[in-house]
Amino acid sequence: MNRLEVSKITCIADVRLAARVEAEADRLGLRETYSERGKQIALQARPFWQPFGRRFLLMEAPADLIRCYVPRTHELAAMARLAAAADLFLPGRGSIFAEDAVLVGEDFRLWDERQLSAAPPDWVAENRLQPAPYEQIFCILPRGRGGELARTLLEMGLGVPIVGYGEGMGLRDRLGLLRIAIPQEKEILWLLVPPGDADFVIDVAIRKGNLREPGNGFIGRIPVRALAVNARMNLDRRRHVATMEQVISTLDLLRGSTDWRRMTGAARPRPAVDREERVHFTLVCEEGTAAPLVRAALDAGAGGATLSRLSRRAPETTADAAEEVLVSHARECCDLVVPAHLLDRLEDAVAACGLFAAPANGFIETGPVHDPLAANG
Amino acid sequence: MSRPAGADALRIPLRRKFALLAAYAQERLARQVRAVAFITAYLALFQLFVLKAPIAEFAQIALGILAVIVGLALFMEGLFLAIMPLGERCGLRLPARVGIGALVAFAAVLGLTATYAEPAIGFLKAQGSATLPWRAPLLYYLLNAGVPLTVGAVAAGVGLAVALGVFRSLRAWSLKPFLYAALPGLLVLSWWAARDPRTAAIIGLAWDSGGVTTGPVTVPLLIALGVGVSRIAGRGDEPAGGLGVVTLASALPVVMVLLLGLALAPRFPPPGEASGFFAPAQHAQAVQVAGGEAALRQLAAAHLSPAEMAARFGAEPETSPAPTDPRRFFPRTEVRTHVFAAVKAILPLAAVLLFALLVVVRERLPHADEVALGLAFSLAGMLLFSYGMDRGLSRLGNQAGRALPRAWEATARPDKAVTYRDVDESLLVRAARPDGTVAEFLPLADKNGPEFVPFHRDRYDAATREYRWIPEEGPVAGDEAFWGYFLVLAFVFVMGMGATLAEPSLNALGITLEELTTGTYKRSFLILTVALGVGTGMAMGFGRILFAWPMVPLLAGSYALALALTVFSSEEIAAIAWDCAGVTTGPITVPLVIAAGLGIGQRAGAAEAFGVVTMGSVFPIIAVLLSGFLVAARRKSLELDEAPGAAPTPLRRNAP
Repeated sequence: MNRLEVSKITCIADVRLAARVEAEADRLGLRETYSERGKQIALQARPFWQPFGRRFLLMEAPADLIRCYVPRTHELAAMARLAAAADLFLPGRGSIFAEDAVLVGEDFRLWDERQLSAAPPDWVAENRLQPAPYEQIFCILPRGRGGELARTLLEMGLGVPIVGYGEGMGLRDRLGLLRIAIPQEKEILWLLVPPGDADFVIDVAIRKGNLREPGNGFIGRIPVRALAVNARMNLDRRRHVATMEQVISTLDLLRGSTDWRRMTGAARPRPAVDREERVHFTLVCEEGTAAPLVRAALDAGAGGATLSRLSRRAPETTADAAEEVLVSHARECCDLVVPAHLLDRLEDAVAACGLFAAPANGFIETGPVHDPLAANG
Repeated sequence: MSRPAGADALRIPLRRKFALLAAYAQERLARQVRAVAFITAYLALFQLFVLKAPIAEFAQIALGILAVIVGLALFMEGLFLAIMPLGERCGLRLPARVGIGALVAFAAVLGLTATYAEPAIGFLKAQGSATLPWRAPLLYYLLNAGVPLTVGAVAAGVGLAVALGVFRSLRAWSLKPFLYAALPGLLVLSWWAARDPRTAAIIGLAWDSGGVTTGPVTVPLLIALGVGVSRIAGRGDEPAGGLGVVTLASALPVVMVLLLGLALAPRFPPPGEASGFFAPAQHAQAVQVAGGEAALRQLAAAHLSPAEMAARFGAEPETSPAPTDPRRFFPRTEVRTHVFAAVKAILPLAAVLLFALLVVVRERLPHADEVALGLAFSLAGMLLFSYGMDRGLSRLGNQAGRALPRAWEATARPDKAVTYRDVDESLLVRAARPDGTVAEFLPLADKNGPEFVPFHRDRYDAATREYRWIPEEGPVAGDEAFWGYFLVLAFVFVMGMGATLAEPSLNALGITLEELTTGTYKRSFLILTVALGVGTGMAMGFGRILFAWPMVPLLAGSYALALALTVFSSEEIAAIAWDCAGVTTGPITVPLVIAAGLGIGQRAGAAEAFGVVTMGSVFPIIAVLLSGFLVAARRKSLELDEAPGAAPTPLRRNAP
């Protein structure tokens, strides 16, 4: 097993921009990117021909969540070039951020050193662009509940939520055939917020998402460094030369942080969540091979997992398509949040179950998680 | 969130288990109740209040509808537990394990099996039941003695289509060039067939065969297979990448049936009259059309007078042997027929999938118990559903269909007959007609005075002096036939919509799409759009029958519009729209089309009632493509702010 300390870059871009990001990733020499389909949600005033209903409608725009791994030294340059490719600095287009991750696997061929070693573009320094500290709040909910929570977050002006689909594993799989009676479909909601607001947002999400009720979901936060954050919460026609989101972004840039827009005082009590040291433990493997691996992780002490589908893009393997046997691009991603002290045991368990060998051909990604709250009983 | 290592299966109290199962069953049943309620209520209310005809066999129909609801719930659950996961897994696993060639061969076998499993040839026969062998000899042959050839052509078309569709998904080719090539080709072929009176009659059959042969098991299976293949080929970011197989499986059978017809045509006589058909000079060809000497004699017995029969076939025709029934040793009770059909629809397809996974790919099924339960659900669901359709919804549809001509015709109401005693002929009033004949009227006492009704001598018994008066009701829509036809077309429009709301294949497509697009393409939106399209298409199809519009220009116009809209649509919307064409005509719509067709087609004197399914397939395409434009217009606000050529932002100006 090899260990590799990397920066994991996540780029959330409107689907119409995803191809530009992928192409830039190719030019950067990133040999593997993983994309997942989600949607960015924003508000729009109810049109006049719909006389009844809520004042604002939820507008969903399909977005791709593109993930790639780079050496930590190249994080800013890579983020800047990917962001510029889709011009994510314009409101409504998307977000890009990076986080620390450790990869565990057999053989990593994630980037081309030569292509990647380019310095950040000059305009990054000219515009005094630095990644700002943010918190990525993730919340796993039963399918259909994400929209309401997203509406609350939007109406409170907390940020633009991104929602994706997943499937829950864990408790349900220990019920035998009775499991079919329990829906496994989940929604995963992500939100980028300034660190000063994270507690407040988590508190709101726990109350609005009813996350203290057993079986209702899971919430946690991961510290990230964001270069561009989509803050276009309202899609209505703009009435000034700049949108409020653009003004806020500029102020962030001038003040050098997002702390000036904290909504709550430092004395605010923090939400009652699990303060034990936790890590996120993510398995990425070929689609259809995750079930036994997750079972092995659950048997080794993990509590539950959320499965989502990824599509791997690996430019150099496109030539394989001409061969008789295809290289699969379908991947599964199993997210678990586990106590840090279980990490070694879990790694051994999934390795023994064949994560690194065919047909799974997978790897593990781990990173810190703050303030998790599991409400699955 | 952690738990002790090695924890075993959870033990749940029995009461809790029942509560879980009850909630699960209730949710599934409620969904189907919502799906079926509209069409049921509509058919019943239309019959009761518009056509003013009573509903016969109410209890049977109610039980049948209950069976449809339970059957649909079980069947859908079976689809999602077994059939679709198996199909998707085959799509994901086969290419990586056995290669492209083997995958394409597997797809072809799957297509062939699907057609033989769900041939839907019964529907085609019903639509062509009014066909007379001398009016359309080739059509009659293809629907009777030549059924194996017809099914073979359709199966070859579906097999080829699935293979091509899977290959397209693997190579990530766009669907649009296939459509641009296939549709004009099909129209040219149809035009070619229309030039020869022998093949002109089979155009409707060919087009409808494309729509009906993709049944409720095949369509979700093909969608799942396409999705699996598209994911492995790295098109997971394009949700509709796996669609298109159903489109091809609807188009290629049309080509094959038309080619079959064109190939067989020289061996068949042109359309003519019965006398010519039964003439001794035409004997050999007549035998071929009828499918044998015995069948020809039966036809002759049904259509010739005894004298003509004797002159043609001799004084004492041989007693023809009873027609052989392939299921003679299998008692043909209704239930057994349905069991046989359900088993035939599901098991061969499941066997092909399981063989591919267990023997070819050699892997264990991850949730074998779930798959087994799903297969049992789909079998039980299919059985209950088809039985319930037969007993409930189809009967209701049949009653409404039979009552439909009341919209434009006066109807005798024997159920309201009154017998008048002591009727004397001296009471009759005679009145002159312009042509010089005399009409007789009988005055009947009404509270406002006498009412004169036409006197029919055959209803008068001179011995008992009793007269049986059968009242007649005028057309529901008034004396203008136009409004009668309008009422019928409106009925068909709403019926098409209602039936589509309950179609299982469309629901499966909607759920798959919602999953693939993370809910940005809503199932309810798709179903409503398609339902509107089907309703419009059906109204157009029945309009063709009622007003005898020519088939080819109608088809060409509709498909040209669909193709033109496709050019300007996104790849995703185009694939969704064209796949909808294949999923709309399913086990709920088709029996209701037959029901309405029987009522309308026969009264309107149409030779055949084909074309309804085809029109019901093309209009959903148009509807979904148009909805795509509407959604795009609504998303304008989400459009990326800068238009092409707009001033770049400062960051872009500095960007490398």
